[in-house]
Amino acid sequence: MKRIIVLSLIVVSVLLIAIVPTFAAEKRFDGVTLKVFANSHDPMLKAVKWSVPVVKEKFGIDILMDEAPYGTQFDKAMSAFVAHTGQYDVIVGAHQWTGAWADGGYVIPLDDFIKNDPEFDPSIYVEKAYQINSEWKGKQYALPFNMEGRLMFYRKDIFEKEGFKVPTNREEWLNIVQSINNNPEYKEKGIWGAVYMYATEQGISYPFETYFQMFDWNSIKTENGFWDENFQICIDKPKMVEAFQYWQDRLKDMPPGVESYNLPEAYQFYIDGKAAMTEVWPLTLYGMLLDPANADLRAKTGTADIAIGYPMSGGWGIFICADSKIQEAAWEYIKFMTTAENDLFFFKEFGKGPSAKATYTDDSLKETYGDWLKGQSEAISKAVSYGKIATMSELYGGNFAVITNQIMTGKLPAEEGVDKLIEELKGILERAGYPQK
Amino acid sequence: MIEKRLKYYLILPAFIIFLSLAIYPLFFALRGSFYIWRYGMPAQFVGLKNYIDLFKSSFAWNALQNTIIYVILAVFLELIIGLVLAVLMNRELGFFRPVVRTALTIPMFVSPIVVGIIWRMIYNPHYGLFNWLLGTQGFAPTGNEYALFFVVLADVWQWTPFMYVIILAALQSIPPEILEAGEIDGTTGWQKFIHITLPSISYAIIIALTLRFMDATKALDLIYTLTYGGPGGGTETIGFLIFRTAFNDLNIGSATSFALIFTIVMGILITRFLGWLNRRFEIV
Repeated sequence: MKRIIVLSLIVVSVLLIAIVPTFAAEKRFDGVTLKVFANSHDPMLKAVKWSVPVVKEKFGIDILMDEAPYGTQFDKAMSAFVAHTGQYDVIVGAHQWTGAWADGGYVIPLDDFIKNDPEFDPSIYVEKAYQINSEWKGKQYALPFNMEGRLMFYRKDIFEKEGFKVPTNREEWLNIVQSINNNPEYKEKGIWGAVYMYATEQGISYPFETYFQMFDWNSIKTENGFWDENFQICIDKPKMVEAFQYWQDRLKDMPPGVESYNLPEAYQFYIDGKAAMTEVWPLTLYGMLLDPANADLRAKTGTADIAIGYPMSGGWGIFICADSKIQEAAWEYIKFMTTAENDLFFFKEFGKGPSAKATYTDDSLKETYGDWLKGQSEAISKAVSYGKIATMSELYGGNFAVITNQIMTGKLPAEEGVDKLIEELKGILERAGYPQK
Repeated sequence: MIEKRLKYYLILPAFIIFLSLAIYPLFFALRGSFYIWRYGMPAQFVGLKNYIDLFKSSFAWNALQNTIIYVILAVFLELIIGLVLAVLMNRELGFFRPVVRTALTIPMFVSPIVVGIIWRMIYNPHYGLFNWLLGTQGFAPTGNEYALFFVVLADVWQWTPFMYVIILAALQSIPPEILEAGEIDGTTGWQKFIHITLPSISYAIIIALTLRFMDATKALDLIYTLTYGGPGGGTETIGFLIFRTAFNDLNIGSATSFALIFTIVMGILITRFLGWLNRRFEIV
């Protein structure tokens, strides 16, 4: 008898399990598979990975993910776009790629979605984040996903001991650097005034940073100071020569070997307590400081606005690909990934750069991120963009960047180098479809 | 009649594959080299402009010079060190011989990308093994005008085992009778090496040299991770320049013209090199 009861219970349970899902509410995008091309940068990647089961549960969308690091994502996406493989519906991309993708018709403007979706409210985003990621030629091509602006990290303990104030211009900055470098106590400890990146991959050797950090940005009034609103070259040659000469001279104030420093080396140098100041992408360095092993250094570290010029923005947006056949689902996905709630969650859980205003003022973050988050908010509100023309990749990784590195490392005199850069820029703009008068 | 045609039918599949995967892309690339052809932009016919620009480009000449230095230095050092190691490992070393022989080949099996990352750590000016060995602090091997030589060093570390393995195999194939006959004739160790061993393994050396020569001229992966062509293009080779033009700048037309000229130049150099070896040693 007992057996019969147990058996009956099992049969009833199995039947219930089979029947219940048929009564479950049908989701809006049940059966839709969205192909997402994510960037391998850890915080962004973790956020996209997190979304896979959540989006399935919420919208019924299955996510098929691909990923690539910064160095190869752009050309991998371009190959798929040019061949119209339809390989991706949604792509997480850097804002400087916008022109190449938008001008080629590979990503769609989101304006119609924005206009027709009553749920969508762009005012939740930090204005600069929304504009940089990614407004292009009067249209919105992406929703802001990951945002950061260059910050200065400095050693509060050293500054307090020596009576230094946070530098606000290049003279003050240089005085501090040289005071520390000439102090026998710090020399013995192997501590340098500042560490920067002079190598080719990224960093100060890039023309953008070098040039921008020399003047009041408001005097330029165009996207990046290289070209005007009509895409005609407007480089202020004397300023640029001065900028390069300044940074050439600063090589002698930097730790030896800095010519080979890219991002990882510069981050590590600061983490090892060997520099009193550095200016880097803040998320990664702050993430390293949050490691319990670096708690001591974190307590000694302060953040401030960069001392010279205006901070560069590092911005990532989420785009919808033109070849996508499921753009409605794609819109729902990118909207979901950039809500204020998820922005806060992604920052807290994965360290993704916040784009929503609410994240910067959230009370729960004050204790851990207080000063840093405030500094980030200010840096982003002032941040300037690299530019978005279709040939941007030539500017930050082609001959233009090689010449810049030659000047920075003293292989080429600044005056001659700037002439070469202007010549190179002419070609870059013309290839992007902007003939030079 | 059918038998007469059968041979053509039999080679047809291979011919179609060859035509579609080698000949067609070659002509497609040749055609592309006459255009300003950029991903995402309409192609524009420019005739020989890409070729003229190439000859006028200081970046191309710089890359060519770097490639020549890189190839000559790397292949020469790999040959000498590989030869010495092979001769040493050809001797009786007892228990250690299999262990050392195997250990010596390990670098060859590491991906060049990984080799680049490892050497980037080794060359770190403040924490790297290189500075520790030299007893210096702050010396950046890849941050100065000698960077190319330090990239060559990483290449030599990785590819010397290739030379060593091929030469060792050739050494072991020399019939002992020849060496014994030399000894009976009263040759010294050095004479035996120069007049018997070296001529006997010269065919293997030529093969190893040719393979390494072709491989080193396309060096890209190691440079990509170790220096990214820097500082200031100081380690930029032809392979890297073509890669940069095609996949960073997306200038497919220019990159194609670079690649075609490079292929022709390398083809001529290798043919002449093999021809010279043939005349000099009568072995190819």
